Amino acid sequence: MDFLTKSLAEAAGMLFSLDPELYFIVYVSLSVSLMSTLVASVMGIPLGFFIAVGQFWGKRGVITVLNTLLALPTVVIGLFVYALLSRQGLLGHWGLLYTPAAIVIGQVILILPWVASFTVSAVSRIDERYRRTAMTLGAGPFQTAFAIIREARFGILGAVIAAFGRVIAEIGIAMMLGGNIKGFTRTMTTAMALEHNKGEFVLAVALGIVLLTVSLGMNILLQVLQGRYGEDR
Amino acid sequence: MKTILQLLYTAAFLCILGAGMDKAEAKDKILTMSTTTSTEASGLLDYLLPEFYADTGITVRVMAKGTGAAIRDGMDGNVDIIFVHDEVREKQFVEEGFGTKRYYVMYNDFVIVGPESDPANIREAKDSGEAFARIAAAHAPFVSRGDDSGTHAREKQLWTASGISLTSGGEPADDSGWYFAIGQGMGAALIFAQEKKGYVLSDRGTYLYYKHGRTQPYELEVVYEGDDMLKNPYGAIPVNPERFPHVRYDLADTFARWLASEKGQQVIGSYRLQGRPLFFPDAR
Amino acid sequence: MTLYELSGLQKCFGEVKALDIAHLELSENTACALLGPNGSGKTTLLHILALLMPPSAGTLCFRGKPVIWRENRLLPLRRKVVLVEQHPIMFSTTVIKNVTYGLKVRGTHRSARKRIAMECLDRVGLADFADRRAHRLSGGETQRVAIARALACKPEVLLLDEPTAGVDTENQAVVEQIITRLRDEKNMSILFSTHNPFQAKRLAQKQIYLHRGGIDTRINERQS
Repeated sequence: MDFLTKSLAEAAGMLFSLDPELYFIVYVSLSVSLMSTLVASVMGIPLGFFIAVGQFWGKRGVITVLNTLLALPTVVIGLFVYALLSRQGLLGHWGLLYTPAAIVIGQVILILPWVASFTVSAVSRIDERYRRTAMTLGAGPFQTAFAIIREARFGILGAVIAAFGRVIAEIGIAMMLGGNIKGFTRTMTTAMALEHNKGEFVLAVALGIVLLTVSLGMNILLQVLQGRYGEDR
Repeated sequence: MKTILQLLYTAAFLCILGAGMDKAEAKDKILTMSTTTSTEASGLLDYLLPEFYADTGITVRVMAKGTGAAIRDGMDGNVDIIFVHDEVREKQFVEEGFGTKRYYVMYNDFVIVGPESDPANIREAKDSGEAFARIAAAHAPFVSRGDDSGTHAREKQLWTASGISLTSGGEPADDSGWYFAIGQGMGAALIFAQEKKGYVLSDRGTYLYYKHGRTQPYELEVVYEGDDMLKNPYGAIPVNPERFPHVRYDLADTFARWLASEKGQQVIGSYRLQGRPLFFPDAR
Repeated sequence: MTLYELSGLQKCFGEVKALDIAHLELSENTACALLGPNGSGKTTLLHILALLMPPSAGTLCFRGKPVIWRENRLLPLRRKVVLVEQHPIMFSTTVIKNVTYGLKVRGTHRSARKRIAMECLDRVGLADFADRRAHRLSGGETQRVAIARALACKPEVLLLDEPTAGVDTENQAVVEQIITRLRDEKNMSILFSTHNPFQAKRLAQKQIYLHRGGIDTRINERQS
């Protein structure tokens, strides 16, 4: 117990003294995760929307596949993307392995199904009358799509926040594709694993506090948004 | 809506910032190196790399892993240089054309770490092979790196020297309940051994760092040391540009030469942890 | 001039034939009531006339030209026809933003948008409601805002699906008054469905009876 309290106290000291190494790790984590979330959203929201409103053969199959992909383990993605990006791999000439971009690629694969799948369910829940109303008021296909996405915005935003929470807490992809390079691809989770390996707990505990704060903050934001949504109905 | 937009703006801002940073770095001289956990965890690189940067302006990006994974990175052309300790495989690496030349850099030595009480009584062994045989005979807990690292390779050599019956993989055939292959770095193995009150083969640098360099205490002791079979040489090998044209060979070779230079050797030799030297210059 | 001309028009939902009209013509600038029991196909017909749903068979002519059911061809026509649904739904924002929506998608200038929307809200007597949250209005208020939202588009054809169903008596009177005034201004065609023959008589110049998806010729003939 004494050991934990001591680590906590020193970690708090590190946080308040604005330790540059600590905050750079936090910065790497946040920027990589935000980038992954952004790319996955830009791709996943339209994809989810078209799956939800589109009428095409095999739609149920596509949704089933999407839901299955929710369970993709991070290490499997890590391994797969590693094989692609390694200099020996298909895309090796891009020279992306062990860079933040490699982590982003892996994480996008991880959360794209999340964003798309949750968008599908958020859009499917939206009343059919919104589509007809927008159309009869003269909206074109894109304007109609936007009106529906706008009505589903809290559900979609929830998906985006959940996706962000998933990538920031993820370690397999960051470790295998980023390589845990100090000052470059060392994220909160890989740094924590390393510090644990080194038997050092202060930095790990400090990062744990930040990670927990970010995750809780994201969940609170989600709750608040959904609360507002519920009240609006 | 506003919130989404704000999120997007923040993300976009950070990306631009990130992109700007990448560009700034692209102008700098950057080298990617895979090395063993021991060089990083012992604190040597934190001491050595700033000196190298001061001399040459080259930044070294370090990935610390087991020697096996580090050599693999080199064979796949994913790094510019490897800095590892497994002489046999290093020479093979050069012979097969993956690396240009193996530079002798330094050595430290392995020690057998265990509880003060020494339940397998290995202090009285006449060589390290016999020490390992005693551990096996006593079924005292033994923690193996099990991660294909240089240390792991050395463990296997010592098991062979011990004369006990082994599997085709070179590990004890009878491993029930006392042999723990954990597949992690040196530090994790040391911590694991402490929890199990068992034995572990460690490089001296990492052990000293754990014993004296940290805020937390470490209770295991060196129970066997000094054998020739425990000597542990480190080599630096630039990845061959003929095989992988994209590698920054000139930077890698500069680093390797610097390590073997008088200045580099002096820096390595002067590194102290709690007043004790960890690595010994070995340039030839 | 003939506004709509339907011939051999059918709509099926799976096995069920919801609509089967051999021939029907509707003329311009009149107010017309669509009568019939539940399930007689009134809503289906209105959705087809609003160009929101293609028929399964047959042709629909709009001002003498057959409608081609392709999205890029439909949009210009749809901008002349607006449907107010039986239970209108409001976008989850303010009343004024709901009313300006049709103008916004038409690219009307921001200042004009606001002015037109306020005029339309004034017509339905809800100018004070501009900044209210639209999806928290009562049924009757929602109906009136939905009419204002439709009018803001300056439609040439206004389709209303049971505009007074599920609306309290007071709001019913207001809605009827709005329709009467629009009819008397004579610059748009109005087609509304209703259960109530007296309301149909009060508001419409012409009445059409639907029965089981078809035109009930007996009643229609007796009436003329």
